[in-house]
Amino acid sequence: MSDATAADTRARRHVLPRVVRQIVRKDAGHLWPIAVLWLSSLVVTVLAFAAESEILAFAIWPVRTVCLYTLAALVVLEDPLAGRDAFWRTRPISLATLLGSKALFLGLVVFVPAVASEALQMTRIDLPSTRLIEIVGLAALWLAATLTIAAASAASANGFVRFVGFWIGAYALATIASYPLWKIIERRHFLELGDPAPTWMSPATGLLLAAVAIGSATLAILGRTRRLGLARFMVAIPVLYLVVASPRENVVLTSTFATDRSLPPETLNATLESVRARTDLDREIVTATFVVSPDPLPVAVSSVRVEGAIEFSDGDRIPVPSRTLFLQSVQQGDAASLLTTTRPLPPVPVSTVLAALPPADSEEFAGRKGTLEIRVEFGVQRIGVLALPFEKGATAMRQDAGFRIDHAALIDGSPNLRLAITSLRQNAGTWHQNDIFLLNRGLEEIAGFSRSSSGSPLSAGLTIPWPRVFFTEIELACEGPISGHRGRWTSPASGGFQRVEGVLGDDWMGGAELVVVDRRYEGVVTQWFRKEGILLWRDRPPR
Amino acid sequence: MILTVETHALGRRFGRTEAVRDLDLTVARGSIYGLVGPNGAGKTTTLRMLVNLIRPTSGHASVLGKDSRRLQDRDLRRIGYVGDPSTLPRWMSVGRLIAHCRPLYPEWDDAFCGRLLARFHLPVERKVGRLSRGERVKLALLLSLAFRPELLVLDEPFSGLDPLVREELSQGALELAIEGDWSVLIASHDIAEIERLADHVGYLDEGTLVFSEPLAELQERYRAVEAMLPGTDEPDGSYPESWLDVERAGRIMRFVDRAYDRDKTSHDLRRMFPGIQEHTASAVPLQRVFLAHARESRRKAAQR
Repeated sequence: MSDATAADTRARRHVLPRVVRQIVRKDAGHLWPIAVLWLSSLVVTVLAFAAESEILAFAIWPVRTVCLYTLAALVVLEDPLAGRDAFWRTRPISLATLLGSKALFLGLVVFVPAVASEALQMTRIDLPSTRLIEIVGLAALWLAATLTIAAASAASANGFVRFVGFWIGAYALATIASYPLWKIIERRHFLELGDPAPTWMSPATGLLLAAVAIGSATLAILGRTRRLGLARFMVAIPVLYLVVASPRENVVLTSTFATDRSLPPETLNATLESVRARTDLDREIVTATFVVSPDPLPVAVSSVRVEGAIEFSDGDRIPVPSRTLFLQSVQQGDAASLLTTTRPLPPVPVSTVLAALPPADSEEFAGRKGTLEIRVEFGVQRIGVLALPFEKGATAMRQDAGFRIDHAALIDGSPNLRLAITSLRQNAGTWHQNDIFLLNRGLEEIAGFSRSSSGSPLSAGLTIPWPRVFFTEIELACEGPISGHRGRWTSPASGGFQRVEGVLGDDWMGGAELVVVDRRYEGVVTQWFRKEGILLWRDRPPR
Repeated sequence: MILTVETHALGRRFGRTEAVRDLDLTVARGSIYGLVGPNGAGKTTTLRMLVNLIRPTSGHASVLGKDSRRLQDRDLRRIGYVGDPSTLPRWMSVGRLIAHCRPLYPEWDDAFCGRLLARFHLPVERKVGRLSRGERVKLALLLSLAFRPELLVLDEPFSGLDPLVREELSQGALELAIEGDWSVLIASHDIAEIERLADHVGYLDEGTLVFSEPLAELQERYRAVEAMLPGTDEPDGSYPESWLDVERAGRIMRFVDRAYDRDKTSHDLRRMFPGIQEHTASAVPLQRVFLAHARESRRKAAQR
């Protein structure tokens, strides 16, 4: 090697990393206010999670999102990649060096802190390490894909205003293109009947989206023109979104689903039953048993939707939490699952909890009378309206919206217990967690539901990792002799539903309350909420 | 002769428009080459192809011995380019921008940079966005000179500048360039500056290089001719091709002869205007050559 060549090689070896650092320093010098805002939003997110402040967590979300996209765009636009007039193009800065510096900036300022923030939040909820790694990995992948798409669209747009215009345009295109799809969804309620595990938010999809973004930006950069690249991009992303998002609509509503067929009102019969559960705080569980008869549906039988209200004679009105009954789940007696069958089902009595009532001597409800009106809908078709006398001097217990504890009953006589907890939620997160436990405040003890397919001992807290949740029904079932809260719990999972079995002491159950903590994560957009509901007060089994 | 820039049949098309076609251009090492031509002649496109800002659609260009399409960062350390000064990062101060560019060039000359800074009277603390156009051009020039490039490419550096700034640019920068063994390729409308600075001149018209030669030879070859005609009759036949911008005012005829030879011109005049007496020929400023070619081009276009 000649001296000149060696010197050049040495120079390159030293100069290139220096150039990368130089560009990163330059970008940081310009973008530090947004970077500080971004990092602050992450800190606030972690603190909000630690403090379980739902308001703060939701309030900081838009700030964090805007900062993320803005940073990704502006750092690229500092040295525009497409077009012919960028200052750096006539300077000794290679494209690889420039891209490397931008990636380094985004990595250091955006990616690593965001992933660390996610990991910090997740470590607070005692996830198994393997699951933690999996979730952090998935969150990191989606964050990387998001950053790549944002940066690539900025590279194609070659200007911040055009970048914003691009996203508005892409969103509008996607909305318009998916409008017919959503009309179907709205009409048929089938989200809650569909496959609860959409496939679009998978690593493969993330990589595919990122690859399309990179490809489109590469064309714009190499072609040194922005218009075509941006147009291509604006069309490609919504189209790709529709392609990858479509599988989640792979629902049970086939053409055989008779949503348009009118059904006679007498299809539905129902009786109101009351199960009194006496404890130190007397409560009463009001249930209604529905019988769909005669066999109304020669096609796919899925569910009926129940909602209603208690109308008091004094005009007060208390809504009954709406819920969906899955007929097959009752028929089978255990895990709720969705039907896609075209086979007619025999009439099945369906029992549902309508209200859990406070003590009879409650001042608020003592002596009041009213009517419980129930509307039952099948798909979009209302198939029954019931008006049942309600003379209980109590109120239906209000559950927080978004999470209901629907079913609590002892089955098969003493001493078996069955819990069914239904949660309907609309999210598309990377994972989902429920902590569900029975709390006996008198004994200051907690009996948790542990999810373990291998039959691990009971532990506090139930974790249901739910990598891809859209509309989900989670049913937890606990069956077995009540002989103590020690024992083995199993949770066979199928079709996206968890079933947990275990044993609890009959004496222990007296005065216990069920607490449900629900946390939801959506990749880099972390959200959580906590719902608590008192479900079960009993000291004797039902008859 | 060592060539810094060499093109062969270089062409660039924008859709249906052929901005540059079959361009054969050479810039010798150590020379200052002025590329002139009317608006839309293809000057900027040519320069941009040479520094790989746009890619040619035909032909080939070699810059510092390398294919222009394959110029890498190490090559760009030897090339200074001053184009549109509005592309300078507006948020940076002058000092910060200099500090940002400095590490990019191993050959950066701090002392030279300091001299240029002083000569151009650039406010170091002021942000680029708050500089005047003239100051931005001077800053762009400083950033392209301070690393002592082997080739300096200037695209309309004098455009929109007042005479004082032009003088500063010319005196301060280009004359400094002349001190070194640098090549300068400059495209400009400012014919006077080109005439003062360049030793080679190329004239580009509608994407075609009409001529390219040393300025001294060009000035030797081009002459402004004036003749008193015997009458006001139209000549027999058309004017020779080498006569440009022929004007007649009564019996006086003026034109620019781009291939002046006293005997040949006299012969042509006598052939077309029998009885004509002697003519006078004088040196032509570059401005006049430019105008003669531009008008000739316009006249031909009108005929088409």
